[in-house]
Amino acid sequence: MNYEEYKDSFFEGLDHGEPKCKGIRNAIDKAMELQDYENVLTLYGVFIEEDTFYCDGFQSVIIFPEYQSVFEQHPEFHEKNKYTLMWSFKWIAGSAEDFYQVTFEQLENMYRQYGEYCDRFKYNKRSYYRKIWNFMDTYAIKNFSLCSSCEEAHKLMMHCQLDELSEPAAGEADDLTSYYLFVEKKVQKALKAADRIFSGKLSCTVVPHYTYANFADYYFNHNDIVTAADYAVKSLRIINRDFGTDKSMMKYKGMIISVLAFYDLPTALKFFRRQLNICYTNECGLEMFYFYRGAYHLFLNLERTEQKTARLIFPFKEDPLYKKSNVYSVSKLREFFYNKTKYIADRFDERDNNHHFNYLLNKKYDFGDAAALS
Amino acid sequence: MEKDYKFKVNLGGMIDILSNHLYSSPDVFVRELLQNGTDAISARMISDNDFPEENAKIEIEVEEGKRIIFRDNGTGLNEEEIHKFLSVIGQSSKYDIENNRASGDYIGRFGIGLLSCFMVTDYICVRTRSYKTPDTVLEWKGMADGTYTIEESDADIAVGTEIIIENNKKSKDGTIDDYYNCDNIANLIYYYGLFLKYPVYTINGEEKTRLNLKFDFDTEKNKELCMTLGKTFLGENFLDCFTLRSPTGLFNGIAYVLPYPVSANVHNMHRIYLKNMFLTENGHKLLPEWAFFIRCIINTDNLKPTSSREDFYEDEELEKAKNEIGDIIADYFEDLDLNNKGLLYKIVSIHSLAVKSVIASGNELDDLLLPYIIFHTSMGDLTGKDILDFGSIAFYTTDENQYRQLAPLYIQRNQLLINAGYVYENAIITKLADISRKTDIQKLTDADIDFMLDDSEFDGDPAADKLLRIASRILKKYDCKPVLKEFRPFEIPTLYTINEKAYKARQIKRSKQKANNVFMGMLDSFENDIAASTVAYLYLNTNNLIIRKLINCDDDDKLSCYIEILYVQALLSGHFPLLNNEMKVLNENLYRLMSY
Repeated sequence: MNYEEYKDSFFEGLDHGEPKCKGIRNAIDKAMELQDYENVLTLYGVFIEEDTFYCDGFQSVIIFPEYQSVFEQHPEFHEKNKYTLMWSFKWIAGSAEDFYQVTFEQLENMYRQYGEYCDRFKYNKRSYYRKIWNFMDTYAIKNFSLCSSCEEAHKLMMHCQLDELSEPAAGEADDLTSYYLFVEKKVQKALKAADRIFSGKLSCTVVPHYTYANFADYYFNHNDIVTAADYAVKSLRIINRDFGTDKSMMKYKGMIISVLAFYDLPTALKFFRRQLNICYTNECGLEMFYFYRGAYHLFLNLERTEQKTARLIFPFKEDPLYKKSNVYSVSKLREFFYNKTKYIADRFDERDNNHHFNYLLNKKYDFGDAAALS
Repeated sequence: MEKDYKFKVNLGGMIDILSNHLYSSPDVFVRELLQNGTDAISARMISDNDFPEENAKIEIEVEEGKRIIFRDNGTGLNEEEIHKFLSVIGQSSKYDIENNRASGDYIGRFGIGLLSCFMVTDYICVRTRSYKTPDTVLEWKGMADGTYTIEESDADIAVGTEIIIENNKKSKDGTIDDYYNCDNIANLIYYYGLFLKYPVYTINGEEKTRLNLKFDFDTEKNKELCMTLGKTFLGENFLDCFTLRSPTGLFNGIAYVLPYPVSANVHNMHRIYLKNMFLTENGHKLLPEWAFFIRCIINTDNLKPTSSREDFYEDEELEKAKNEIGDIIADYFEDLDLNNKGLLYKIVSIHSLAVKSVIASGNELDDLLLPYIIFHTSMGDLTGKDILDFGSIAFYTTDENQYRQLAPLYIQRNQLLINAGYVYENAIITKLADISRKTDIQKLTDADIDFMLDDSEFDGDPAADKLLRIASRILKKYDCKPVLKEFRPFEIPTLYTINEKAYKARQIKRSKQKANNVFMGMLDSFENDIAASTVAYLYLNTNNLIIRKLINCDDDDKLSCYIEILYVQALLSGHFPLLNNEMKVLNENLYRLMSY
């Protein structure tokens, strides 16, 4: 069978996300059975890309060691498959750090091995340092054996030329925007870096989705709810369009809900209701932290409007809070989602030896008259 | 010394930008000219009280292979207007500079439409007689190199404008010649201007043909015609169609229901018109994302186009239109529920994923659509209504693997087990359980499985207890517990069930077989995290002859052997990929048995 035949027989036409992942997994098993290792390697790459962009990344992290093992056993396919392997490695590294189950030491070892693979296959370290500064920024890491600081990792990244493992132009621009926003905290520089994204000249699968949401988050945390809401709505429209029915993008969906919870409650509630039943099985800690924090902000603000109850299809049927009537006490929901977020925050902070996630969860927001609660 | 300089524009470069970056194809010059003609007539209707609407018309005369003449009887232009609007790029006669906005009566507003003709010619001639200066005909000649002339002309033309484009542009592949053909031009007019409000004619020699039609988007009155229109323009024999009429006047049109399932990720081809002029086939910005089973022919007067005029700006009005379309589709479903249940069943069964996503989002359509959803069950495919009317206990599982393992047992017992393992089905079945009055719909628990399997007549029997003890010891290394039960069919000796966490644990174990040191620790961490919540049982069917023989077997060593083989057999019949140690165990035990 050639690749197209595997595709046609197992996963062509299936919906993105779990259905397609299951189909690709079956194709891998079939190719293994046929000892068709060239296609096994290709299909592993396809699986990891699908899971990374349309699921929660858990399956990718689990399956990657299998992929790596088959790759190492077949040096005859290294030249042809090294590019796919390295991209897969890059993606799963990004996913693995988002699971609190993975220890700090395991992450260090994984990144170290990723750097060694870059050397081994003659890629420069740009993508390696990108991962490092991104990780240090996302988790507010101060003491990391692989690099002294987020700024240093970014500087080392910028010293490396773009290569095949670099992000596409849209991703590079989005990265730079994030760096200016969250590390340097210079919004004008970030806006300039995002100019080609916002004017529609640069885009990819997840840009400008991320970019708008990041600006929303920045302004949200800098007390400008009007601008934050403007960016949140822009992000919501395209995320809804491209990932509305997938359980991916939960971090950004959560950021949007947080912002709109303080500015446009009906829209926040509508978006949350729809996403909750799609995403509650997402197991990625980082993604669910932001999503549950969004839910907490939502019910916190709903409570402030003195609304006592809310209708919700509550998927956690085993939880004592579940009710057949679908009508829930707003304060109970607020408490429920706070506790869920808190659990994740504690696990991450324990792993990273800091208080970053608890700080994000317990930060008080007060937008005064700008917040149009309705 | 300070001096003011003016930018110079390289027209050749501009045309390259238009043809290679702004417009998707040279075809659009037809749209731009139709649009200019329509706007000129609209302007005349507003300002010339002596001009009756029934006189309005656009004519396109094609001299095969040579030239095309676009003619309208709109306002025409005087010399000042020619300098201002034809010769300055970016200035449009339809743009209200004082108010800094385009007039709502016009289609165009960017002042670049005429330039699009340079994609198919190097020379444009415009002859025009303004209704303000009806004694003078002016002729403007523009070249692709950016030069132009204006002079008075003796040409005998009525008030209005005619634009003449000559077939003199060389194309690399000869495709420009195709535009100087009456049939091709007619097809483009049909494509872009089918719903234009003024009559559009082609003239080819003596033959004059009207191309557009005045059409009422009302499926109640014109159902057959609307369906034919859908077939003609969207290329499908649709299941049904219904009217899209915005309550706030944002749009007007027809929605068609596709006759086959489509993926949520396929962006359907629509026909979307702006002020009756075709704008785009891409409707994903205008339709709700769950409405991927719908195709539309739709006209809007109020949404804003992008400068390429091939899409909409994403703004509040667009969001509002999208919500209104969602509401209209919801109303359509309500109407079918009352008046045509058969069609609603058909639509829901074909487009189940889309409908499920609507229900999962938790809106007011839930109660209406739930009875129509089809579920895979141990009694075959049943609708939500069938399940609501079932009248007894129905179990559901959101684990597809568990369903696959247990369905044969439920079939034998004539009990209802629902597979809710697909996308959105957990939310939907929960909702169905909430509204159910006759049927008690419950999520399957381990206790339910245990209860469904009958107590074994060997419970308390010393020999059976011994079997259980040995099995517990053997299966401990597989994190599995043995249970003695009786169940049908008798032919099945064992049943292996695991929960979702245990299924994940198996996947992790599978990967650990190949992981290097860097990832081994990570996989261990994941495995440890879920270890406490994994549940796996091996039910031993004491109705089955093999199990009965095992109970009576007094050779412990043989028993161990058989139990491990039965465990692996249960995995295989449950379609679980075997782990290395399980495969090894099977081989080793078969070998041991052969040695006895």
